[in-house]
Amino acid sequence: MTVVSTYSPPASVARYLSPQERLAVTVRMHPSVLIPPLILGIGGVFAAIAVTPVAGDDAALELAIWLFAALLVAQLGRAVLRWMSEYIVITQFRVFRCSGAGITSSSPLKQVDDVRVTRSVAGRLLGFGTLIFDSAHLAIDNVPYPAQVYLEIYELIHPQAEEF
Amino acid sequence: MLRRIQRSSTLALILSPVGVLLLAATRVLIVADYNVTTALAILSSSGYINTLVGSVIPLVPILMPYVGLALLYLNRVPAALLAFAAALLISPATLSGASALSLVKHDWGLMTGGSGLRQAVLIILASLLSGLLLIEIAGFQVATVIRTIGTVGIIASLPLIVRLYPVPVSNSFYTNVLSQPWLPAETITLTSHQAVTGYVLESDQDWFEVLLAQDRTVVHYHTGDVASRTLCQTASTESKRPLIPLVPAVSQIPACPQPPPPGGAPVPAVGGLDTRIFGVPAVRIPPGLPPKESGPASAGSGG
Repeated sequence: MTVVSTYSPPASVARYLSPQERLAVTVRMHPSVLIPPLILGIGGVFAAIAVTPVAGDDAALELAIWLFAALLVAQLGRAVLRWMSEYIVITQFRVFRCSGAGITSSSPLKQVDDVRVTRSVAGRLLGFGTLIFDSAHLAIDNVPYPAQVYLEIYELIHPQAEEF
Repeated sequence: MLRRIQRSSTLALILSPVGVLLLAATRVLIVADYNVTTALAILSSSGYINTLVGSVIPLVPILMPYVGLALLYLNRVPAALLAFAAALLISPATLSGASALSLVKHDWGLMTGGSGLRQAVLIILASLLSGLLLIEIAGFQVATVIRTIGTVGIIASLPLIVRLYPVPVSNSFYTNVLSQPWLPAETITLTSHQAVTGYVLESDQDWFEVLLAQDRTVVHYHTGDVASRTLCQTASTESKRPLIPLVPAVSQIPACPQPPPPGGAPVPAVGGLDTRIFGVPAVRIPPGLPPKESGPASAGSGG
């Protein structure tokens, strides 16, 4: 998990910010998002090693097995690259997710009345959670430092809370 | 990650009329021995709907195991399980249920054997995999866990599936099944006491239109020259049983007579217009001419 400095947002984020927007949070997804593709990659190699003797002399079958395993490993590589280039960004105006491909999802904060945070067992163990914006029908999984991010958003939604 | 509904356009394309049409056209061409004229003759005789349905239905049991694998990869787990269940019941398997179990036991022995280094690598990977899987079970949605297990299961089950249900392109049984028309084979006995094996594409009070089994050409017989018709079963369509057969294998259909050796029968040459097949006037469909518009006499005069 990487918390990016709010004073020097990455170029892929900065290009989508208007001059009057103030960054509240800019974070990558929690690395736990890589667990499913990691299991697929490792599982693919494991299964390929395990069943290769079964293929026997069938070279085409052996090739198919290893090609499929390679496909799963390639998916892992793609997931890592995507994770490295993808950010969750929250400003005083909106919450959006952006990557090298552009802004993939966005919702204005004025639509958000309240925010909830939930943490699964693995989330509590590994340090990630899910932010749920009920009024905007939006949920963000695998958010690192969920409590801190929640407080940041809460203060943006309810600025009067800071006055007390 | 921001959640959103995902749709599979790939699956929709395969199941769409376009996908079904492509499958049907491919099979008609195979049945017609890659002859476009013969394929068009089959199509015009059998009707489009019959050709479409008849072409696709026989492919279903053959391709069902692989459809199951594809659905599993596309994260359609319930549909994949249904496809595998259907494959157990309808797809012709190369082995019986007991033999398949023996094969699984044999394969397990091969998988757990091997050198010490290989076993050590497998144990390390299995430990890593188990730990990560536990985290996934604890922290992710059930669908994600099922997809993970299903995708890895594709690789694990691929050798078994390929041997139980061989890939059509590399197995003579399946290529024979694919090349057989969807119509029943018939032994047509002519008044000259000679018999031909073919598939009756269309018949009326005057003519029979028959796709010959031997060389996949379309011929016309006058009804007066046909003494009898009997359903028969070609050697390649003697179907293998599914892994779980629900019906006992009792077939009363007699085997089709073997085709005569080359040169042993007066089978007309390809492209002949007015010829005699086994002593009976027959018309081979000439390229570019509609089959029903010309009788033997007119075709003969045309040739």
